[in-house]
Amino acid sequence: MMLLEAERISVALAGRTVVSGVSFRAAAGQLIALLGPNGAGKTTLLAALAGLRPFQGSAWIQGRSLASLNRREKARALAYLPQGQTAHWPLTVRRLVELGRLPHLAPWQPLAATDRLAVETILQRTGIAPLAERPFDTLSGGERARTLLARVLAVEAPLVLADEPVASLDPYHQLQVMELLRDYANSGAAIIVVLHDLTLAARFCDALLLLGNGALVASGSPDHVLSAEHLAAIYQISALHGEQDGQHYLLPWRRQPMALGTTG
Amino acid sequence: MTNTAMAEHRRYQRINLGLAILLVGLASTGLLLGHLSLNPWQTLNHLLSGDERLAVIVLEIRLPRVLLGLLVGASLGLSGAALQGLLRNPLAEPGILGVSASAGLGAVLALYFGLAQVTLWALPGFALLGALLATAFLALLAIRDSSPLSLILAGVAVSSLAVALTSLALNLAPNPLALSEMVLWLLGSLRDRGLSDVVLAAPFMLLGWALLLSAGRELDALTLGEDAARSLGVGLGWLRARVIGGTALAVGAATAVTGSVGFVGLIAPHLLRPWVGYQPSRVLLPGALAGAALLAAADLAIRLLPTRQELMLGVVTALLGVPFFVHLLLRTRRALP
Repeated sequence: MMLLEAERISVALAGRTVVSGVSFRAAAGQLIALLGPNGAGKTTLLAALAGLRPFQGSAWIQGRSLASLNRREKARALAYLPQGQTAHWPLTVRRLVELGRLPHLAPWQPLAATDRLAVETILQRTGIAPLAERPFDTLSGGERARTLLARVLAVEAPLVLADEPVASLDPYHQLQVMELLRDYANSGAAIIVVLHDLTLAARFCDALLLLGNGALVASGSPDHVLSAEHLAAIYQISALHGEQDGQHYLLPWRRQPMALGTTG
Repeated sequence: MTNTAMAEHRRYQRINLGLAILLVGLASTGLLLGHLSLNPWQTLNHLLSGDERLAVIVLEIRLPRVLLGLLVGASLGLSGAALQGLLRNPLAEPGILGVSASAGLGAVLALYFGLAQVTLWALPGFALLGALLATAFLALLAIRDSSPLSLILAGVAVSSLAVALTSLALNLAPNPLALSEMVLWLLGSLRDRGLSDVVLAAPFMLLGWALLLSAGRELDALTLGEDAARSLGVGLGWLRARVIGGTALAVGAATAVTGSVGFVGLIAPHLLRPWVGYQPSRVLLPGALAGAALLAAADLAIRLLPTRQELMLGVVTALLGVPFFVHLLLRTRRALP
């Protein structure tokens, strides 16, 4: 069954069309990267799919229209990691991850045993259990990223929308976050993740969506979406290709000569 | 429940219990201690042996003052904690943001135009309206610009305007009696309040408390920012309405009977926050209790200090609060990029 079906999604911000007519589907178990240069509309599209921006077109989650879900249903159906997410108060790691259980709780209901178990499982899975009682402001960048991701996964939503979860992380932690996302998708969820790193996208994701100027330019397998033509047309770059352990990889290498005249 | 969660919960309960015991202690001291040259023990003995003159002093002069101190302090502490959670800003506080001054202006206007004589409800009503307008304006501004410092500057503007208009009313006061009555709302005091003041203000405060206390879990979610909170099912509009409405009710009613008392809403939550792991929902109740204790202690100090004229409560809390505010301001600035 399709977990997410987006049909001709268009979003206008302050009268300007930022996303126009994007359609795609995501099945359970799929990790899908949302790609595109700065300003292509990735963040806006993701926020619209999370029900946070008004949009035209229709989105269906597990066969139910996004617009027909109430706040609680929506919060349980999808988990959203905003771009540049941080914590405004230095709560402990455990308290932050527990916030992910809010959609499952009635207004005055305390965390139940199932919620605590879910939090404990996520803490183990993301490797931050030893940090559970540490305040957020004492964590390193990589630990913070994993904590905020753990908060999102603690919702146990079938659909996860993550906006640049690996931005400003070192390679070790980038790989770690991608592995966590891959692992969560393999457990039966669909994940849409905004990425700038084409190498990571090609390596970890089942399918890619390439946005250019708000429109979907290409979608499908990494080989198809990251073709030389698309890289040239959308990113104005060329890439190196290679193979390691039977896996194809790609490395952004050179700006297009045509960009020289315009000095980007 | 895991061990750490249980330990944390026990600590939270111990904090509340400790503050409650402190409150009972301060309140009974406030009832049993005063200008009469009797120590608390003698006062208690006299009361128990049926001294009617003393009973009148304790029940009609000291009791309303103590009760109002607790109610007003709790209102200010709770509003401060809730506003700080909503605006994600440790500097937010009804006094600094001009909510108290606006409520005071409402009260003074009700007096100035003689509406307070028409109906008993005009004065608290106008104070509530003043508090509501100020809080709503600041919240609207915070939606557009979330920087902590611009919010504080807007609060300074609101506060200055309210104080200027209040001063204008004082300037144009018809007679010295009206003048001295209106000065109270600038400085704040618990002196000469009666049980009727308690009865007038308490219902509004309790309603405000209920609204503010109901917001705890959603304020926790706001730790992650507005988009993440919404994605967790928080209705931001409804949350803002409750915190703004609750603050207006609690602070408006408090100001209507005691005038504007600043900084309690800043100090009380700030002192408590490290003890409850910075979680906004867990700052609310202890913040209210600590606010009540702080105001009760400040009022007790005022009554016992051998000054020629009794100091005004708002003056004392400001003298205590300003160094605190500067300290917090410097720390917040350093934390900003």
